[in-house]
Amino acid sequence: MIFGDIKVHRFIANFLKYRYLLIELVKRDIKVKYRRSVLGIFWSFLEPLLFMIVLTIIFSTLFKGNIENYPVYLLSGRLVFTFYSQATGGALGSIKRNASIIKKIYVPKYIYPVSLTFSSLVTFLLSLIILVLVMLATGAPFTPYIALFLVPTVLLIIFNIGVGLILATVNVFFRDIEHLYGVFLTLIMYSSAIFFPPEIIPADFQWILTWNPVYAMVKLTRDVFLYGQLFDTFTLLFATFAAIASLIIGMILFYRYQDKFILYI
Amino acid sequence: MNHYRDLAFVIILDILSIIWLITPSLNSYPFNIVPYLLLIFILPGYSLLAVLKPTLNQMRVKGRSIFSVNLSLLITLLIIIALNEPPLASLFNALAALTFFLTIVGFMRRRTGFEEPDLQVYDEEPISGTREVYTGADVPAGLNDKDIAIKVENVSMQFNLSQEKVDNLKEYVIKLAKGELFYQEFWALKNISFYVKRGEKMGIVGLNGAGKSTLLKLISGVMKPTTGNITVNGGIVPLLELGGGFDGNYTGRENIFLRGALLGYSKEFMESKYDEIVEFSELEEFIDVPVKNYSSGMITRLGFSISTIVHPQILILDEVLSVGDAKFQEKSMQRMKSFLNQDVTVLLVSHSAAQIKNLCSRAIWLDKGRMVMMGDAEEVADKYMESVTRGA
Repeated sequence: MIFGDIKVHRFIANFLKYRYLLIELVKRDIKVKYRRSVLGIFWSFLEPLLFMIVLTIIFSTLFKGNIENYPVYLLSGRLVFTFYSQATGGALGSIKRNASIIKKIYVPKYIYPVSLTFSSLVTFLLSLIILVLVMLATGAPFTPYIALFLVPTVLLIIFNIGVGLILATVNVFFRDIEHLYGVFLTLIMYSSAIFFPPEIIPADFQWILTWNPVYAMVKLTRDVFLYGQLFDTFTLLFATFAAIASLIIGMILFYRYQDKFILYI
Repeated sequence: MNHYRDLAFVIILDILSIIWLITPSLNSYPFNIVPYLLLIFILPGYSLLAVLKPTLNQMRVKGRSIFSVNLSLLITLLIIIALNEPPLASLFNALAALTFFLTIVGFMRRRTGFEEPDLQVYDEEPISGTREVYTGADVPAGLNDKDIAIKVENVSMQFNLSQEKVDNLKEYVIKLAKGELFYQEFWALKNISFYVKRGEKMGIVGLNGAGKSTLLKLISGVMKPTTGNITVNGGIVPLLELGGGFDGNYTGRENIFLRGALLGYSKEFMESKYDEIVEFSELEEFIDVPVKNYSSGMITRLGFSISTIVHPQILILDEVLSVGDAKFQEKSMQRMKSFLNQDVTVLLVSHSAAQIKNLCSRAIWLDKGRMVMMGDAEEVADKYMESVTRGA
């Protein structure tokens, strides 16, 4: 059976030894992404801002009256989705990209997919600054609930690591996933109600939203930043369940097959 | 036994899902999503994983497990189709077709038979000009575990040599159907056992393809052996293919810190050693240039300088004593010698018998994955040269 064989104590010792590597890899992801661009890291502020302006111009005419404070609605949804797509999409090919090192030096291999979650987290946190600025600019109310943004953030980190581990493992054995996942991400994007109100989805298909973990994360984030209210119990429970389940499945899969990676890369 | 457990697991969840679906109070939206998810995604997914598992487990499982899992999958899907609901019908049918196909494949595989790999294959082949095959490596009674740096017990390593790697689903299914997926097996190492004492210098000789590099990769932990055990006492610094593994877009400086982190050193430590590394590699002028613009000699110099910055407990050398130009070779040889004089355990791979005689006290001779001889370095190197010249 799939369960078992995860040695926790060695895991922690190893993680402590290689924490510098994690930091270096996160740095590398960010550096390489913005290398040779004039504005550098400022793009992680500018890009969501420009995206928001474009979509606000387009959609505020379409859904006028439907959504209060469209810029904040859009931005909060998009930040979550970008975090998810960057972290998992990057983790997908991470084993293959680092093949030359994996073949030579022993390091715990999970560090490659996991580093992607943390480098995307840096971008995510930087973009949160933009979100707060936009909230100020649009005169959105700041409620004490804003402190709860840590909840969706932590859940997202766990969820992304889990999904990243799953994808990284599967992709070693079946490269098809690489091409398929782009399509899948588009599907996730449209079923997460990022730039349209969830009500426009017909009642028959509302279950897609209900059971989409990314949308649950989006909803939690919006509760905090946009609506200033406590989380809806079902959404919170479902998001937690999805995060933990994906992490457990990811760890089991990864640990089970990581020794075979080297034969396939 | 594994596949019986898999089978039981699938069947129990099948039954639970079906009970859930036929209980009126539970079979209502949104609760009925759970059994549907189980029946549509998780169970077929699990079964598929079980089908794939033989590949991932070095293809050791017999056709029977594939057959039984597929059969359970087929039964599952037939029941689902019986309970069919319109919107999901096409999905079920597609899955049922896939299952049916896999089951047929399982049947065919079972018919053609699926044999365990023949472990004795190389033992039947005579190896030119050798004595009896060395197998045991019992540690002498006087030594306790503390004195042993590396212990290798009955290690075998198997590769799957299927001509092209099968890494996409279509090819996988085609090959599976043709039954040619699992056949080409190759033992790179067979039943290797030896131990290296702390501070000992051990040489490994052998022709190309003897399994030397594979053995070093196993000891350095990059690969795991198919069977057998490897115990290593102390920190290893592997010097395998020094040039590779740098990030081309990164400058020399950034690569120094990245490589340091890969070897498990802290940032502070690397900062304290940074100047020494740059100086030794003679790359002061180019240290802020991306590594992709380096010459191959510059890259190996950088690799050597970083890897040898720490006096390791165990050093693994794979044909790296000829790095860079003559001047740098002299320098790197000096540094190696300083290691060799100390209490460092060394594993050295070389084609050159002279080098082995010079640097090592004991040696192993590998041929086609088997250990031909182990003993005094002089003696092993002589015998090895003798067999090479006789063969040529």
